[in-house]
Amino acid sequence: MLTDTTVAHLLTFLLCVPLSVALALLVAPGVRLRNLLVRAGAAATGAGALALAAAGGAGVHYFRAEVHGLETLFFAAGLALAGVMLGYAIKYKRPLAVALVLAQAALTLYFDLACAPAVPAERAFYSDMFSVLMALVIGILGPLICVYALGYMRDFHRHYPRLPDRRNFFFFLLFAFLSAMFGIVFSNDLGHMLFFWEATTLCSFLLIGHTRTKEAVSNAFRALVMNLSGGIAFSLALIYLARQFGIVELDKMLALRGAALLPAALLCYAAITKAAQLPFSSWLLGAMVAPTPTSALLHSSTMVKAGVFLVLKMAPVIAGTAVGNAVALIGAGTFLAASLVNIAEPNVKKVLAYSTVANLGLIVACGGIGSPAAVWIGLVLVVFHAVSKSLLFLVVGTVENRFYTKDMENYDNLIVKMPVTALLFVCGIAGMFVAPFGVVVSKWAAMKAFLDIPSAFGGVLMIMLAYGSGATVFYWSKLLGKILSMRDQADVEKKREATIGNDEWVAEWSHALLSLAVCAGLPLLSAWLAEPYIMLNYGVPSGLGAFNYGVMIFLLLMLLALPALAYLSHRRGEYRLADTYVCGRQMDSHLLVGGAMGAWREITLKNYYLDGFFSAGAILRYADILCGIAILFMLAAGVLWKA
Amino acid sequence: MSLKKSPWLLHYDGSSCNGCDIEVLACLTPVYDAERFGVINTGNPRHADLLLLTGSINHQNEEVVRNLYAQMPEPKVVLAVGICATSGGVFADCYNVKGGADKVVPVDVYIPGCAARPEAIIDGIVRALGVLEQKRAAAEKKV
Amino acid sequence: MESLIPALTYLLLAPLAGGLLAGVDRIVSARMQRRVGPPLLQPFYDVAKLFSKGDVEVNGLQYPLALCHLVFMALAGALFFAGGDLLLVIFVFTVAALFLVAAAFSSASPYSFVGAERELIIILAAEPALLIAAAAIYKVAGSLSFLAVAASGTALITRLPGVFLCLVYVLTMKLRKSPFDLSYSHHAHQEIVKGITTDLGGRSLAFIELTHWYENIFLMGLVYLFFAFSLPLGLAAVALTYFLEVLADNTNARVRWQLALSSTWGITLLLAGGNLLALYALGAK
Repeated sequence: MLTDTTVAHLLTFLLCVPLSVALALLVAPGVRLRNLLVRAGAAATGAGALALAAAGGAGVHYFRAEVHGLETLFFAAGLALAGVMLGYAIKYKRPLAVALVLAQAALTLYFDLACAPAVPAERAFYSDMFSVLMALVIGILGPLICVYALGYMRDFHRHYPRLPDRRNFFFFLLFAFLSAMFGIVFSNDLGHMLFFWEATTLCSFLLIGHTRTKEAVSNAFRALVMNLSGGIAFSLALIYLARQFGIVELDKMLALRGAALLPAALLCYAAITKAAQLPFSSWLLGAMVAPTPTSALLHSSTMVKAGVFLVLKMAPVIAGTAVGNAVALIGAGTFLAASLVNIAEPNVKKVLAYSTVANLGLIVACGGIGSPAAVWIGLVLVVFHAVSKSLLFLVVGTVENRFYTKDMENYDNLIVKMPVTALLFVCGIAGMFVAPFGVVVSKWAAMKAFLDIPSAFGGVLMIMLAYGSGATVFYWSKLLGKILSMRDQADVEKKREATIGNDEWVAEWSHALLSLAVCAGLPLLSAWLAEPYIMLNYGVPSGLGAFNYGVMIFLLLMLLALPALAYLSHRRGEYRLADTYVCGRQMDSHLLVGGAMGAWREITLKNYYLDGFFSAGAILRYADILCGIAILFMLAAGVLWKA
Repeated sequence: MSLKKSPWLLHYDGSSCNGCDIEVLACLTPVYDAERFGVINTGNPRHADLLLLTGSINHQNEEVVRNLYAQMPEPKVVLAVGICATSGGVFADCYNVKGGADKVVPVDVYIPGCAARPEAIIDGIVRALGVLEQKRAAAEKKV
Repeated sequence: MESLIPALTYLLLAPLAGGLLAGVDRIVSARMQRRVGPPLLQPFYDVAKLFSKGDVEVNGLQYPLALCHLVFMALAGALFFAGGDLLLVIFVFTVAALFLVAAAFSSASPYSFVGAERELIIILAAEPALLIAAAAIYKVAGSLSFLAVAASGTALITRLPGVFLCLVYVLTMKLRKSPFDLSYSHHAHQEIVKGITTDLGGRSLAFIELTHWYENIFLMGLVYLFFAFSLPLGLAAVALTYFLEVLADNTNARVRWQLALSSTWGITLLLAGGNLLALYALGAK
């Protein structure tokens, strides 16, 4: 085991290197240099994350900030952030955003000038198993997505030649964002964490609005407003902690347990807005107008994970309290509502977004319950969901750049048109809802965790989870069926996959292999990072047990081997190809059927969307109201509940 | 041997007056109960061993009959039920009628009658089973 | 290791038991319709015949997917009888159903496609009930293992009558009996021809038949679990339940999917959800 100093160096590396790459990208002339910087920066970040995991994974390390003037730097940077946000809000004439930025700035100024000097942070940075877990997710998936973005944005701008090409700024934002994410997971000083938190808000705002269309700008401001309200709650929590308890550090807050309930409730509010839980989900749905790398990086695998990271961190404080129960209800309600609504959603990116919101809801519910088993589930679900969802976004982006459609109905024949991409797509979808992949295993464990709660509340959560699970199977199977549907077997001549660049292939294949690796490697991952974290914070063992791991791995091997073997052995076997049955009529490869009177008619096959049952309007309206009430209840409980 | 015990049939009405069709369906009713022999009326050529054709072949349905026959897996037999399927019957000289079923597909069993009686149809099916077995044996010998 | 024996017994004997069950099903149905019906071993003749037919396919995906459907269903049942976690078994069961849906989707036939969509609706309707049933069993018996619950002698039926009734309602869907035989039916004609199996023939169809047998034995095992404290009572319950399913099959017309979905979800919430919450009120663990 290498020393603390190594870990400190690696932390500094991970915080500073992506930012440096970002600044270099801002001024880099020429495409070659940009590509080189992105690839090199990606490799460096990934290496740094892996090195950190190797060096510091199994331990907890705390560090002072030895840099002089660091506080001044944070203060100035925070003002700059606020200034940029204010500038955009004024430029685009959004009074609500202006008001919120000013309120946020006022609170932060008050904290920085009046409260913070009295409570200097002794240990500003730290690294524990959860931080390392998050760092691996950020540091491996993030760079892969940045590399993917090289290929994606090239095709994107070729298709939209009228859009101004601000790719340097785009990549600057991606890398700066990575630094900010590392900042969130390594900050023990909550004031610093707030700065990084707001930095991710700004990056998200700028990335959503990147194309500067009217819709993009409007959705960007919706995201900004909602996340700013979270930031304000964060600031209030900071002020309360400083004035009431005289602390500003996360570990000291967690040590207070139930006494810190109000600040924990406020931080959960901030986390809920960041993780796009109901009633704040609309910003994530709107964020889907951004280029797909943004959706993959921010809005599925990393930024929204910062929200659930914070909820899981708060678990020791809120477990078993009314606040925790309210948070669990919000999470479970979001899971249910988003899953139901997804049945009626035809836009593929929005399907992925609702699914993200639903899975985050599951993690939030686990955090709200806060039992050791539940928190363990939250940790592993972060990893599983990030990998599979990111893979899905990457693949959807590749398909989108070739077929220029987001409508699910245009995805048929994909297994013929783009077979390798279709297989990767299937891998991603399977990762989301097929046993024994992680998301389903986590759902299974979550059900057990909910049932182990003694009160009827656990039963209510279980029922919500059951209905949500049914809905989940439906909407993923629909998409899976579309991809595997073979309509025009002659379409294979058009070699669309030849236009996919190496950047995209590397990123997508890495993701697919990672999704298999984390599934097969769950016992290792759990034993190395998740279980020690639970043991550290709760003192009890966790995990699934050897028998279940064995079953999982056996199922995974069967799932990988059997379809492949069956397909390959059958291909060489003897069978006669005949036409599809359409009542004996002739059907040609373009789905034209010879009908009555010699007329040729086209068959169109569209998925069921069950609009009558699951349309977004009614369901989300009720769910928003219920979750909104739960949020008010959560905040009230934070004030009133005496543990 | 098992083919004989489990004959699944596909019934197609070419241009019949529906008389023979009603008799075919009557075979499945309690009075005649063809399911005693394991006969199931599947509506799907891919599941069927026997193709029962009623009515004569004309320009519109000859392609359909060919397609249905092609979509059936081997071994398979074709039964022409009723005199119209056998030879065109009383309509054989009409301008729109091409003739009996054997104009488009090889027929193995002819069941004349107008309408063919359920006893005759069941008898025809039983004979067809024998033909089916012969075909399967021949196919196996080839392999 | 003791759990391997029930699993292997299931894997080897379930096809036989399932086939006999199917044969009894057809004879009882026939007698209800005042017919004689086929011989008892007819399902075996059917499957043997299907294996002896040549392969005629629409594309290269259907056969492998149908085979995976069979293997994973057998795995799910084996896991169940080996004492595996019932929730995990349900998830594996869903994976198995998925392979069939994928096989049906891969074909361009509208009948196959509509059959696949309806099959998804059936899964959508039945999944919450199965999961809540498993949850309720866990609450009462403290375990999700078939072997453990059976050995413990807990009378699930007395604590979980609502869950059992809901399960029987959902069983009609899983056994593909009217009024819920939306996606595939053993009866003569479907309004969507043979629904999900329209483009599957020969060996692929034989796989589907065998899968139904494995599935039926697994589902009967689930019914048995509620009466596992007494072997004769359990077998009688299984027989009676299956008889009622056949009776429902012969006396009901198929419903539209909207009614199937809404009635199942409503009954699940009232009977199964209500039963589960009542457990807490009445002081279960």
